[in-house]
Amino acid sequence: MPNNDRLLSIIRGRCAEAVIRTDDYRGDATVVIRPERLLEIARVLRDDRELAFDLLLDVTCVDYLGQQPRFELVYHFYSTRHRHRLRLKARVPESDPTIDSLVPLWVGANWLERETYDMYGICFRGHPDLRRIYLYEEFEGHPLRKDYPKEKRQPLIGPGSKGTYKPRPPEIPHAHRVEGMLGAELMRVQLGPSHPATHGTVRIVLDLDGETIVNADVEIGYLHRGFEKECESGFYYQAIPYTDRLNYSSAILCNVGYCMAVEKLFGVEVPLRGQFVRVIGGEISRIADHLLCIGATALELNAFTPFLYALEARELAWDLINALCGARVTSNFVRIGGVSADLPEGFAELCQQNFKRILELVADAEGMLLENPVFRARMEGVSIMSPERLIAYGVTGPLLRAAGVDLDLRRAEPYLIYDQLDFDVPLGSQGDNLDRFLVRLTELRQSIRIVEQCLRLIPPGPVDVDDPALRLPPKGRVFNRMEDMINQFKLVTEGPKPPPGEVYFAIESANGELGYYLVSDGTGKPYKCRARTPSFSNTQPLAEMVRGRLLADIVPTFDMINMIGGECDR
Amino acid sequence: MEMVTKAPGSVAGGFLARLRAATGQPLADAEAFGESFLLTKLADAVQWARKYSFFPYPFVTACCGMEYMSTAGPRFDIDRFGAALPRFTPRQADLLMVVGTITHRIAPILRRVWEQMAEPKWVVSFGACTSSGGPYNNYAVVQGIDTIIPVHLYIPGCPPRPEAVLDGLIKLQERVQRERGGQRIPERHGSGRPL
Ligand code: SF4
Repeated sequence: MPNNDRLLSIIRGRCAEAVIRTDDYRGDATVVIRPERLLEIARVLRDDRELAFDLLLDVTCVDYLGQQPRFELVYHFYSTRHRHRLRLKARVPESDPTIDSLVPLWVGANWLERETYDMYGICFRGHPDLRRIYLYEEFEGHPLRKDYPKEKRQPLIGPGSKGTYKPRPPEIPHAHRVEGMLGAELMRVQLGPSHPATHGTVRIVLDLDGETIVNADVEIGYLHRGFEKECESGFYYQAIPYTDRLNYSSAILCNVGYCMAVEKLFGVEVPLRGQFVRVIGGEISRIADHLLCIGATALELNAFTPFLYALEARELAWDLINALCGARVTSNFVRIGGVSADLPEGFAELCQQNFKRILELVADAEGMLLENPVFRARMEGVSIMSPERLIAYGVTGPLLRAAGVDLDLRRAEPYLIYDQLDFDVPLGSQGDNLDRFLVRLTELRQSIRIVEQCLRLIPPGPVDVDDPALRLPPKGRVFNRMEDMINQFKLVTEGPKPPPGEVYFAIESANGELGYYLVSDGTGKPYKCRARTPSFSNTQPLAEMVRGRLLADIVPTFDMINMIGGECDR
Repeated sequence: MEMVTKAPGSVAGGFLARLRAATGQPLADAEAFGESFLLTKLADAVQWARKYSFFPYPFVTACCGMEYMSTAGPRFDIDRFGAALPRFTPRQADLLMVVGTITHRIAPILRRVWEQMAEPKWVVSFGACTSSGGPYNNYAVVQGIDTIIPVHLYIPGCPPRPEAVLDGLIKLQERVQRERGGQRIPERHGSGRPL
């Protein structure tokens, strides 16, 4: 357990006048600072040897409508060296919502700040390219401000639109204006937003010199569906289905992260058996996610057969999820304070049987791909990025581990029962696309190992906490006892009410650190429900990875980043 | 399912007999074919060919795409129904499958893809989001694609299971079979009014 007292006292010592106050709530260290000193403190946080916060995880804002100053900027940091975390907060007034940009210190701040600008209208001084990222330029206002009505739409076409929409030619900000081959002009090409290889909706605008990429700009946001606004408008438990739809290829992991964040807010822990069931569900989800990534990569590099193998293997993993909760994709399996159901009968045997077949299929697909010279040529040595640069971008997960950085939250900050399990964390050495592919392949096998161990070790007992403030009482009791009836009624109509406060909780999802930042004002609805999703940060370096490479290298690189639209665009 | 072609044998035989009686000619050539030919209306045959050779354009944006892949994959195998080969250019496709949430930002792109497809074309709204906005009712999401393009078939589910998709496809095929010349199957637009 990191020592927050020591951490906070170091920070107070280093920048005493800039710090307004520090606190330590539910294990989260928080520092509130004067906004004008942000850049200076951030530099200390990054460069001080004892602090060494090299990973800027998240930038967001909370709108305290009616308070002065109105907006609170929230930064989350992580240190890959010391494995400690910090939350930094600074308030800016509505009359001048401006703060320094952190782009000079972390390139990854670029998109995060653009998002905060888009959603809250905060201006970042010194930001190189402060455009909207999720919404379109025609959009007026900032939707996550509390005074923006949830259902106020501003359509571009169709009913309610102004009818003046005209598509704009694609722009690349800060494009290098070099001359191409033989003095010819560069060619501007758009990949997407509806392109078979962008199996999410993303547009990559490129300047090509022959086949070489000179400039690239990745435009995301086509699938921005208002995750935060939806979550803030419902009770805590009503947000769970929306978390399914963040990373829809591993929905249970997203559920687990969210429910554990809410439990952290309440300060409760689920019983041991419940934790095992969560690990089992989560790891099967991870298997399905990696299978999809591997299969889609094969497909897009024109290897159709391995794709079919991977897809059948994913069906087998989904059969297990189906047995757990009756759904295949959007599982909605985990509950605040437990899971929706215990393991079904005969689950261990079903797992054994399906895993056996999955491993066979994966071995076949692996052989077909790794011994294929075309596949190797397109993966090996392609899109290498140094670990330092990846960290500066805020990249986590298999992408970072492929570059040799040993950061897996299941190991670094074991949650649930991961500290009792025996599994390997595969690391790459080159950091090229092939390493990324192999890391996922190995992780998939490790996940199978984890599930098998869990099925052996799982103890009997309840899966849910016995707390009427969190979990619905069993139906038999609701119908027969007045007290349980009231509990059920209150929970459904008022929602579970955590104490006021705020927490950040992160798990290792299939693509990296998936964190939830929740602010409670004591009511049944989250005041702020923010998901720090790995795809968002992982997609950001794409433009830099492919610059100077061939057009064809975009496809394998994009596949290995495994951008999932729902997770990236939220 | 409606029978497309009239079976040879009795029906065709009866037809030949009547033809012979009407013309008074021996019709030797026709008889030589025996039972090896079919009689149908040209329009039936065209629609039959169309319904079993859809070229879908998968406009895939979100979670529903996971089930779209499964439907195309080995276990559910949409190829059995003649709709396997996706075309990623709208000019070669005749079935627009809109799969996944459509936001206001991507709506103009969807409409453009639809406009670029040649007639005859059909639109399938795959999943709750495309049919009504699904779980999302906020500033970002279009409340049903039928507010911006016409739709011929809605498949419910969030996401629909592959069985539901195949069922939907078969229903669409039945309707396409009944189309005639200028008479297209009814499409829906906006508040559910036929266009
Ligand atoms: S209908 Fe459901 S599964 Fe399909 S795209 Fe919408 S939210 Fe995702």
